[in-house]
Amino acid sequence: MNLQLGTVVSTIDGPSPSKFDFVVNNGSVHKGMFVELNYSEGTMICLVEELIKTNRYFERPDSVKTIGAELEKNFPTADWEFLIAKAKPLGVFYESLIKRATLPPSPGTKVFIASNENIKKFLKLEDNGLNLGSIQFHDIPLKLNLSKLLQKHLSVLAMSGAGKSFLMSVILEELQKRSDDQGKIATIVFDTHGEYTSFGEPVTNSNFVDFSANTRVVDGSKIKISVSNISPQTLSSLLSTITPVQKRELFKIISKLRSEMKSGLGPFDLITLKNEFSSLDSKTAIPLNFLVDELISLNVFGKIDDPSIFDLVKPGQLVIIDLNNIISERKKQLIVSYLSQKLFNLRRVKKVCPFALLVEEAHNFIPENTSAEFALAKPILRTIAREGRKFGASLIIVSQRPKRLDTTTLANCNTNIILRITNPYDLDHIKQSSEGLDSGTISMISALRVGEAIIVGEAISAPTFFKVRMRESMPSKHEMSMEDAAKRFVADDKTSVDEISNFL
Amino acid sequence: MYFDDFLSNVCDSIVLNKSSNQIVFSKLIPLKNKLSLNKIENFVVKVNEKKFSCKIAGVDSGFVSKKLHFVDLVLLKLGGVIFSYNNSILEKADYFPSPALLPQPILLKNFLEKDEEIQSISLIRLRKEIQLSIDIIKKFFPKYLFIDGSIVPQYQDKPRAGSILSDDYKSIIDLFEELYFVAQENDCTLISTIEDSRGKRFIQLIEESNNSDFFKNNSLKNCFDSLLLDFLLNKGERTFCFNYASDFESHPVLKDYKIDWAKNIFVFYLKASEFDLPLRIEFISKNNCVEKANEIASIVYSLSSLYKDYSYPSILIEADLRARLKDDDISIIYDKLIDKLGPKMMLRRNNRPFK
Repeated sequence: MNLQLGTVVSTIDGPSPSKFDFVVNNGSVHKGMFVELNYSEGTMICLVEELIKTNRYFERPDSVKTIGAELEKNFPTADWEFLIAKAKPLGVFYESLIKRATLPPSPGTKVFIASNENIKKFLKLEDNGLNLGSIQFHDIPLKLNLSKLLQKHLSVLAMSGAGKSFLMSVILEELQKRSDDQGKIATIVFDTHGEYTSFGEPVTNSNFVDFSANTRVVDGSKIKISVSNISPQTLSSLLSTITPVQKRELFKIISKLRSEMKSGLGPFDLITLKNEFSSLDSKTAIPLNFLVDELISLNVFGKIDDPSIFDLVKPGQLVIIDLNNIISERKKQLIVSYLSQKLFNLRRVKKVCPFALLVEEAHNFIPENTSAEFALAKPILRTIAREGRKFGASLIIVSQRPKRLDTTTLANCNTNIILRITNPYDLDHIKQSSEGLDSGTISMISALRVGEAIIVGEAISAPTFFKVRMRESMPSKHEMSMEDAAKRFVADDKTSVDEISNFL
Repeated sequence: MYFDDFLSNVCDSIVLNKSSNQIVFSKLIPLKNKLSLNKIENFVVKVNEKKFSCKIAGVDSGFVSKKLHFVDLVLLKLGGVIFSYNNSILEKADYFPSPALLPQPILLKNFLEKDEEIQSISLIRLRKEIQLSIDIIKKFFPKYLFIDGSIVPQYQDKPRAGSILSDDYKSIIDLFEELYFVAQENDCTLISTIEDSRGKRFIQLIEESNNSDFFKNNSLKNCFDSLLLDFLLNKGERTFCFNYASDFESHPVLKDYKIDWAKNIFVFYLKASEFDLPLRIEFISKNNCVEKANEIASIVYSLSSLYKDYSYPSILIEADLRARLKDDDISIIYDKLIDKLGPKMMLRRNNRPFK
């Protein structure tokens, strides 16, 4: 028998099929805990949404202020403190089915802590699922079905320092640990701050699991995009001030170069393209030269793709695209846009395995209100969010500024994991974009501690609070305190001075 | 406008009355330090606070009633509270019969006259309260037991001669005397505090003891003791203690008592809070009533002086909290009765076709 926690009480607006209060008379009840009760429709599973303490001795502020601590010396105040829990019915087990509650429980009904078995069954947890942590207050591993978590896309939202990267590392570990029988997907991470590069480093400390064998870290600054693979439209869109006449001439030249490529001359690059401008009149050639020079200065275009997508995307492979060394936002956007487009196109024709595309700092790549020029990756990431599930192309967006995220993309993420967020505008934006979150749950998000999260949406039957499990992979070398960073800077500086002195 | 004028007139009248009273009251100030009528203490005595470590009990009841055709339904809730103090600090609270009290439904005799209806409810309530007090003394042995209200039944509780309630009244007097006896046997001091006393005995005593022209010309007959004493007493002061009645053999209630009890019931007033009226305290003392009054005043003052603008013993506030009933509480039983017996049971005035 489960621990009895309390008894349903009658209030002005309850009990109803959608909410009820119970007075807590045993054990400790927490906000976010699952409770159950037996009533006419079956076993009702409920979530504790709020807890309120009442004590009539302290109801009148003037009295409390007047006598303060004397109150407790003269009245049995502690004996008459009541804890009222506000619970939301989530569903009812009825003959092995889960259905919506249509009748309220009666006042006086006993409320119990929900059994682990019922919670697992209700939330549809899987023993072989991805283990993200443990459900708060119940000590049940939160093991989620891969498809339900990722197929219809996932968003991970939290304020800075709340544990987004930590949680993502846990998810990456779980994806890496899957066996062939369970189905392996490729994972591509656009790592803006180099937080995941440690996955690619061999482990020297036995406390950590080595994931380097199946991880490929790609230095973003060295990535080359094949000019010949870019469509004329895409290339022209990169040239911000191109005129219609210039565009027409550019298309002609590209068409010619493509024909020559097919006839055996091989792929071309921007220099080859530029050389063709000599055949144009100077009014067209000079501005085009100027625009293409701008692209050349990004140092991201070449004759062929390097590395090749086919080398990177393999079942069970984790690919970290390290964008940390790239300063130009435009270059980052170009890389994310090109690789995402290419991956999605190849997946549509099943040339690569199913994959999950993780976009860190997603608000920079899929912003809500920015011109197309500064959001090059937005169209393709939006497309993946919209259509990806049909092709096994999953999008994972991670952001600390949900308010600045494209609402359409966010709304297409059918599962949201939200860690601590306090900004009211961000919370409001999340509420508008996530169907599964009501005001009660939203209010609980700002009270989360680091490492605590709520998951809501496709992956789980009801909003569930959980504590992210400890990571098994090596922490990122970027995770350094300010003190350590300062010490390292001084040490590095001293080494440089010593080296110069020795050289001289 | 009509109400504004009315309110303005009422306020003016009260202010005028108060100021004319205060002129009279001020003439009485010299009395404060004079020897009182009991010849032992002054008219006004300073209360000495003392630390106490003992059990103190309090009893209160709440009731609501609803009329039906042929019967009256009464809901009564009794609350007994026992506080255990150590060095004047509350350490433990016990509740009797239990912390969570259920009201008792009672059906009133259905052939009573109008005046008897009220007396009947009052007598039932008194019986239950006094019996609970007796039970608490026997079970918990408190050093003090507080009663909410007078220590004797009130004149208006006494049925007229030949009333069907006469026997009930007599048994209540017996029960009161049993309470005094049980308290005496168990070394428990009974203290009754009257929340909003309309007593005039103190004024009566002053008038009797002064034959000056002043009192002949300035009657205090329209004033209550508590109003006069609110002016006369400072916080932490009490009046001298005096007998409940001057002539208990002709007092309508005390004459029904055994003389041994009737002559030993005493009263004093105590001002426990700066901005509240003095409390009327009644007690029984067979030996030294002044010594007992000092002891009681010290306890009552400690328990009642928490707030600046409200004075009542904390034990009785707690008992009241436990025993309080709301009008809605009776509706559950009332509605179920109507369900079972039909709407004919309702009074016509409660069964209008629309509101």
